[in-house]
Amino acid sequence: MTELPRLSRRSLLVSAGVAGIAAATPGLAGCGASGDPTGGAHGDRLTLGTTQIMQFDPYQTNSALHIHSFYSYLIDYAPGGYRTVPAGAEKWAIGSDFRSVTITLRAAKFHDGRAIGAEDVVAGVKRALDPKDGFTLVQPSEFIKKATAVDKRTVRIDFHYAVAEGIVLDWMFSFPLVPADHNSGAALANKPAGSGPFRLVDYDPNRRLRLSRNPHYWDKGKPRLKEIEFRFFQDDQAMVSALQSGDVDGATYLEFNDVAQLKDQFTVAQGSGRMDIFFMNGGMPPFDNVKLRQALARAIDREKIIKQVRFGIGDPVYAPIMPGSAGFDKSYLTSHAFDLDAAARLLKKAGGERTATAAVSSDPGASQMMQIIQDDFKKIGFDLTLKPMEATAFLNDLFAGKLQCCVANQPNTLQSPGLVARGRAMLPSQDNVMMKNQVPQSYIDAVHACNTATTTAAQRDAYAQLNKVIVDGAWAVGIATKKSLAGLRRQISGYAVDQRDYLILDNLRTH
Amino acid sequence: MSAYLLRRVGQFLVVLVLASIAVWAMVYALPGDAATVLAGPDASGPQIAATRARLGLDKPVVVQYLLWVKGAVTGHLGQSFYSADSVSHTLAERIPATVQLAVLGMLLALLIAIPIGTLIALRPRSLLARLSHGYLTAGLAIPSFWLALLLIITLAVRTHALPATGDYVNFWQHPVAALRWSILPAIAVAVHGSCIIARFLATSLSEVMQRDFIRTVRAKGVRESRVVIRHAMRNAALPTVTVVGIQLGSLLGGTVVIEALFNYPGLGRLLYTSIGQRDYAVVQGGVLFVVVVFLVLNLLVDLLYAYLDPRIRLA
Repeated sequence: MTELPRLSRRSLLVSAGVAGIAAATPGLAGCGASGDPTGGAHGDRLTLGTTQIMQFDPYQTNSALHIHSFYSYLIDYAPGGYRTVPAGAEKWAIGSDFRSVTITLRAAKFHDGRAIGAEDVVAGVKRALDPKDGFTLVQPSEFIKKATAVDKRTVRIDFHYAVAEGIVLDWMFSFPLVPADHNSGAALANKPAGSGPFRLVDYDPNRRLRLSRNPHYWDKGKPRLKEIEFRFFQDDQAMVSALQSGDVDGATYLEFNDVAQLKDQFTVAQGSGRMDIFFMNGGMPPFDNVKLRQALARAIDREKIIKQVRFGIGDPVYAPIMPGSAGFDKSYLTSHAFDLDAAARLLKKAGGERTATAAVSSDPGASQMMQIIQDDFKKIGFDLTLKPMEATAFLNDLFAGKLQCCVANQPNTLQSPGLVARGRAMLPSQDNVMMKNQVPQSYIDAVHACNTATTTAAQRDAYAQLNKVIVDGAWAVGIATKKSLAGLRRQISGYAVDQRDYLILDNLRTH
Repeated sequence: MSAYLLRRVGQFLVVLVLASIAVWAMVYALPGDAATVLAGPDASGPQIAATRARLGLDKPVVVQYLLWVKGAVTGHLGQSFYSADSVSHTLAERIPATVQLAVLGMLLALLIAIPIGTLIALRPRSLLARLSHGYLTAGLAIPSFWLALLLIITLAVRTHALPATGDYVNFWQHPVAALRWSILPAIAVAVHGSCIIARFLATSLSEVMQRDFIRTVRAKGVRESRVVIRHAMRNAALPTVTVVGIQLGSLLGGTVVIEALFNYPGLGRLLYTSIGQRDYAVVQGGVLFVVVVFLVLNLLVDLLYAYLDPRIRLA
């Protein structure tokens, strides 16, 4: 008879400990306890990872990705172009003199069940015209003189001067519908008040934002999902790991280097994004010399940057005008292509100092991009010293006009090329931090011409002139589009990003 | 004793005032402000100026500080620029998450450190002790963030055994879910701490085991386990308690890197984000909380000294 091995107390305890650990891990792994804060897609529920969302006031944010979920705008552009789609406005008619537009609102309701009315638009326009409270809508609305309610669902907007149809449509695309009595920064600070496809469930600024389907949404059958949860991440790698481990179903605004490791397992969606622009400060030497700027503009290797920094994703641009814009003239990519010999010849003619300091933001890819530019400048005899800066410090110095040169992102995603002068401080006609008081009059005139050209011929001439003055001025040299990237589980479809890079979640569904 | 406590409270207040001035000065010394971040990268100059005025950042720095102090003495630590939530509420939401992670991390660290430290002190030449030495060396040499990445890759990304990200679930309401969402960050912080504690415990315990009173106790025929637990361990605990106090203070102060890697919604991540966003009031409130935690833990350690070793008298 075989004797069983003697089980000592010690070995019993050790065995119990090992067994406990072995049991605990799969136990925790399999746990889908009711206390789970998040989870994967459950048919009509999705979790998306994203960078932090800050606020709910559509007047104060022009970059928060969630805002289109809460608010309806007067019109939408179909993804991928500028085809207008009625949204909050059912129809509209621009006056024959291009000095007014009459808008008929859709019979729709805000999240609180109240009907959307003309007075809400009138109050919204009033706020947009208030320099202290209109924030991102102040500049786009500056052509507007007044708004008048014609009846409950009709509103007439009068302009100061005749404007191009594209400017009016771009404004309507940017104008959110907010209830008149909630339309202030204070009222919208903690809670959105819109009529968009989703309503707020709860919001924790450091953790998550949960949205639920708006049952009163005007677009019948949408949204398809019952609930969407955004989980906030500060670290891109943490978000990618969460996607790979299944903690989230999708991740938005990924870095370019993430795509290589995700593309085989996930659907990678591309949004229009923005553009990388090389800015040279015309208000300080040596860049106050326009010939020197023109010379250096020819020494920027766009293809190399797209290939090495953006992993082959993106299109070259010669100026802050997106390739999809009616103002984009691709012949400039040839006539002003990367050419070190031409750059060296122009630099020799330009004279002046051959050194400068380039500020490099902590944005991913900024450093590599500047190193490529630095190397090419060196080849033509121009020494660029790179100065790395933390993101907020970089923006602060950029907006204060303290940087000699840098690469910065520039949006110009709407259909009117003249809107290049809107928004960021490096390209406006006035208070331009890159050109100080030397903004070329030809640029100011070209922008105005683009915004007021009401005939096809006038638009063609105005766009051509705008291209010429931007390229000749050479303080904002286009490099490439910087697409916005999202990774999604293969079972998810219907993801779309509009021209502003806002997420369109109405059509999102899981299979 | 009461005179000692009063003196320590007086020291608290001085340190708190100095810390608040230092934090305010350092945060304001950073270039850029909340208006730049809040208005967004596409904002125009007038938009940033309007945002700055709305947040009150156009007032002189000293005025802003004095306004903050005025609020702080009445218990109002200000408002976050971003969430428009009160700082007290923001901190109150983060602190339980950090406390839960710190306590779990410290329990794990002690569970590892006490057996290892004792083993090394009592059986220094055994195979297990040699293996434990290897663990201590590796645990101290490996940075916590690297270990965290290793845990994420092996247990979350490759095997999907546990979530790659951490989250806060109240342990008393959902203990299993709470463990599931915080076990990986807890392990990441526990390993380094366990090595430090084990080393201190091993050194002091082996010293105590050589002392005369241990020989006397043994000569009296007391069982070895009782010698160790009842007599040696209590005397060896003093330096270990100090280390545990400091470690716990660090964990309660927020393990910034670990919380960022696991996206854990604790105090460390809040401070990290707030510094980047120049959310002055939140940074100020958060750092003051950390200072208070350190001061209180220091005091508790001092009091514990007196309890563990009656020869120590606080005066």
